[in-house]
Amino acid sequence: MPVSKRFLHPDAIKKIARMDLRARHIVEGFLSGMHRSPYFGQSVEFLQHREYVRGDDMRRIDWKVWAKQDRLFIKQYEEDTNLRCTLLVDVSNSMRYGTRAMNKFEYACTAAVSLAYLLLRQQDSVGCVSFDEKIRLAVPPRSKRNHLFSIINTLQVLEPRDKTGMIQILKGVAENQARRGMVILFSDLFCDRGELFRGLRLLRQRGHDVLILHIMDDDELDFPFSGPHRFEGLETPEHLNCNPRALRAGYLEAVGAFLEEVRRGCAGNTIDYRLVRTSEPLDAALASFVSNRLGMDKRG
Amino acid sequence: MTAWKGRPTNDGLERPSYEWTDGLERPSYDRMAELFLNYPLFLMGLPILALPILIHLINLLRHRRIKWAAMEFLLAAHRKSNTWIILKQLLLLLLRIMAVAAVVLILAQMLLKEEWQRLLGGITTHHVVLIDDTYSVSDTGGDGKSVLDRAKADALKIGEGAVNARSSQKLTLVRFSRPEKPDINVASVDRGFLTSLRSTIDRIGPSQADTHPEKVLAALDDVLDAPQDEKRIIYLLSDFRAREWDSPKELNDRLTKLNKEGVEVKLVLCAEEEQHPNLTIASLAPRPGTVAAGVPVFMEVSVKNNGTTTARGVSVLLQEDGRTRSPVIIEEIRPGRIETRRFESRFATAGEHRIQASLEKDPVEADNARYSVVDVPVGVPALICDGDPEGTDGKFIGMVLDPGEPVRTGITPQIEQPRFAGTNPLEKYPVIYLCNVERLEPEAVKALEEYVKAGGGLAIFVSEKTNARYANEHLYKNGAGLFPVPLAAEYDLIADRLEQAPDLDVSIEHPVFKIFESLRADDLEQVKIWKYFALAKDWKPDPNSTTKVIAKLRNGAPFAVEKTLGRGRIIMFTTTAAPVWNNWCRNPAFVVTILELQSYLSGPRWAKPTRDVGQPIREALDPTRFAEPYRLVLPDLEETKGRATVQEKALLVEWEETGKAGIYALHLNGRDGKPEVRSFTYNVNPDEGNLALVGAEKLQTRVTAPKTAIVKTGGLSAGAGDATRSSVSEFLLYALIFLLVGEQVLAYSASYHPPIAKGVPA
Repeated sequence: MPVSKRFLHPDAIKKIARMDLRARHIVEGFLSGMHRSPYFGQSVEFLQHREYVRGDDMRRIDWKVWAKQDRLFIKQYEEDTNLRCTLLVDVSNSMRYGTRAMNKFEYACTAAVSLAYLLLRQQDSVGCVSFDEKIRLAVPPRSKRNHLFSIINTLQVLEPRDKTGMIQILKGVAENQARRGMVILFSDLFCDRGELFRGLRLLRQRGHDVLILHIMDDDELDFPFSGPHRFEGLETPEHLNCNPRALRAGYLEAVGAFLEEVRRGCAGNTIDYRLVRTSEPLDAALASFVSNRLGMDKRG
Repeated sequence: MTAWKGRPTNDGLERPSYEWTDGLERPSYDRMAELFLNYPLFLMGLPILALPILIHLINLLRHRRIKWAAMEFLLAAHRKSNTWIILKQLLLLLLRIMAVAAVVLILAQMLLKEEWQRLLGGITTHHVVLIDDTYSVSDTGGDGKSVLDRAKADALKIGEGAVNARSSQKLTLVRFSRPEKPDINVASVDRGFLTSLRSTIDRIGPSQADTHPEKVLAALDDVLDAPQDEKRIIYLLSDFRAREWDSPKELNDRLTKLNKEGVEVKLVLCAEEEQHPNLTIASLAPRPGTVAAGVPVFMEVSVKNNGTTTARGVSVLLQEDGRTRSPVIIEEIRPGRIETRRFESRFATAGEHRIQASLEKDPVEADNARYSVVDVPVGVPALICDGDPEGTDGKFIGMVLDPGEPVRTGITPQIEQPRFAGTNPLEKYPVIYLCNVERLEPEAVKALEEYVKAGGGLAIFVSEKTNARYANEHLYKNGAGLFPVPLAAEYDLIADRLEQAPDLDVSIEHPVFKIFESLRADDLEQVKIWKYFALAKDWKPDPNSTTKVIAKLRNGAPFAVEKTLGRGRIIMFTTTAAPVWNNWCRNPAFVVTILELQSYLSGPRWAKPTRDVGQPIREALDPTRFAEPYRLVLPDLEETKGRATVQEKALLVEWEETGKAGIYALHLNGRDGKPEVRSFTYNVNPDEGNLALVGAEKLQTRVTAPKTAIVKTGGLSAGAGDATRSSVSEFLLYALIFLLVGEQVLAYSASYHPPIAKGVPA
């Protein structure tokens, strides 16, 4: 299979191609783009008049107002900028689990690449960070179209391993991303929840727009096993011999509590959160994910 | 260390058993095996009990391995419910083991010990099987099977039913011929029971007994306790002959009593509906009369036709002391009738002589033979006490009794004075004649009364010497004395000048005069009586007394009167024996009458009394005459030796096994060195040979007991005990259902069965 075909599914792309991924919060870019910028600049969209002060560009004086009121006012236009989006893909061992067409890792990669394609198509800059306990590979944000292949190639060579160490990763991303931008996390979030929420809070404090695509396998949500099983931890050395039916109720209760905790934590930090089953069609999941960004406030 | 040791079991059979001899009590194979009808299956099933544990262990080993990401949640759930899960699994395992155990116990057909079953509310069923083995059950039908064969098959079916039943069962087997000694006495039915039952039944053959069913049922009261904590069913396997069941009042009373005690009774008709022909020798005995060595003895044999068709040309085979003699042929015997034929025997020597009569083979063998022993003396003494010193009456009687050569009667007359009776033993005289007695000494009166009461015969002739007042006071004694009637006075019989009627009017029916039925009657008509002793006018025979007039004079006055006193007979003639008051002694009729009188008064003393088979021999011996050892020769000529038991004042010889008809000869050793043989004649009861059946429909109407059912042979199912199955298998079946339901509920509650629904919503 060509490298681009592994994670770049035409069906998914086709579904979301006509959509825009908008930043919910104001982001800082270096190019004119479709996202709101904290700066005023050249734009077609008039915003307001402001009284002239020394040092303002004479070209922006609105002479029609001077003619009527004999006072100098300058026209201010809203500046649009491009988006600097960082895709955080969890490649820890737990992401290897999956019994369907794609495991969690593949689903996360595919979703990330699809969004990267979308962002690059709308002139935004996209970077990618893969991580487990530490950052394994990092691709800096670029807005060139061929940057997509850099991202694909990066994910292609990766195999999940080790545990998830969320706090160091998020902290590192927050420190490396000086400008406000968008951070999208693709993970199963099987990590320390306290560290996770501290890291997310840090990102939000730095003005980043954070999105989480929480990817879980159907087995992890439904626990459909029957008969004697030996469960061996993917990230831990623990194992458990049991009849899964006897434990199902307790397991589902624990998972439900985990999801509830994650939802509450995200809501508390104004983070967009979306739980996705690996059995869910990727195009539908992404469409839903992207469409949630539409209709947001012009300025935050 | 072990040893084979015979152990008497409760069914009377001797079986080898394997027992420890060190005195320590151990659970034995037998004891375990008795708990199961199918013990090998139980042994095979024992390893299966480990099956649930094995499956559980295999499941633990053969689990599916999964690399799992969300271990955190799984371990949390495990920590939370681990104890409860293990508890449920152990409980589930236990239920499964118990369910398998219940299946094994059901298939092995577990039996409960009586006390356990009582705890569970189970009732022991006690089958009491009464097999009719009287000789009529040898009646063989067209299929070649006798009534007894069918009864034995039915008994075996009852046993099979008891073995197959799940509840505790007991069985008692009793034969009619020995109801007080059951063949199987309250034996617990286990898996090996059928073998012992079959061998016991196989040994049963038709006996020669004729035990009445009522006697058998009555004997059960002594053999069995009252039915407590058990359901008792009595099976009466019999041919149900009409003579026993046509009017079974006593049987109905007995059956009703049993029913009231809660006993169920089943009358099993084992005979075919059709009655088969059967001839029975009803009797074989010497005719009344004098029996002596060298004197012809007349024997009588009677054959009864118990069939429904006339029997023709019946041949009765005869044997005298083992020698066959010419048979007696009976031309025709109509159904239900008895034909008697006389035949002459002559025994040259004194002593006991054996006679056997037998018929040709028919459906019932036992009644085709009959035995008799005749004790033949050298001569028979006859005592004639004549009060006349001339002995006129006595001479005439003596001349008749012993006319001299060449005619030999075997009787030796002895003429004595009346006082002789009071001073000499009288037992040796079969008959004593009293003539011309005016008075008797009190000792003589007492001795004569005792003699008659002991079975002696007394003939009295009156004369002019007879004192009526004395006779009435000391000899009549208001009917309690020797004279049968009170006397009044001498009377002359008025002559019949027209001679239209004879002087004597005798009762032809009476044995003394019955001979005149076949002899010339004109001899009797020539007898002239001109004087007689009239009776008291106010005397009339008491209807309840044994006194009866057997011959009258022309005028209606009694000529001969008979009475019985004790076991003896007395006949008094109201005239003289000598030709003083009559011309009787000059008439041939006198000779005939005196000889017949001698025979009649002698009674059947020459024939040894016959006994019914089964009646034990109990012979008391004088210890001063006999030694203790004895020898008994049985009918089949088998000999057995024994010693008489010493009683207080006698030696007692006892022999119980007299179930076979024939002659049992007891050989005794006299202390003086002379041996003595005493014979005992045993015959079957000829009534048992009557094969008339009561029939099922008639029996239904005759039997009025409420809980008594009538079943035809073969109608008993092999599952006869099924009705009483409140068995442990049923209990185990219910327990199994309960265990399986409990297992499912527990498995459901342990989340093994609910369908897998969607888990956490995304």
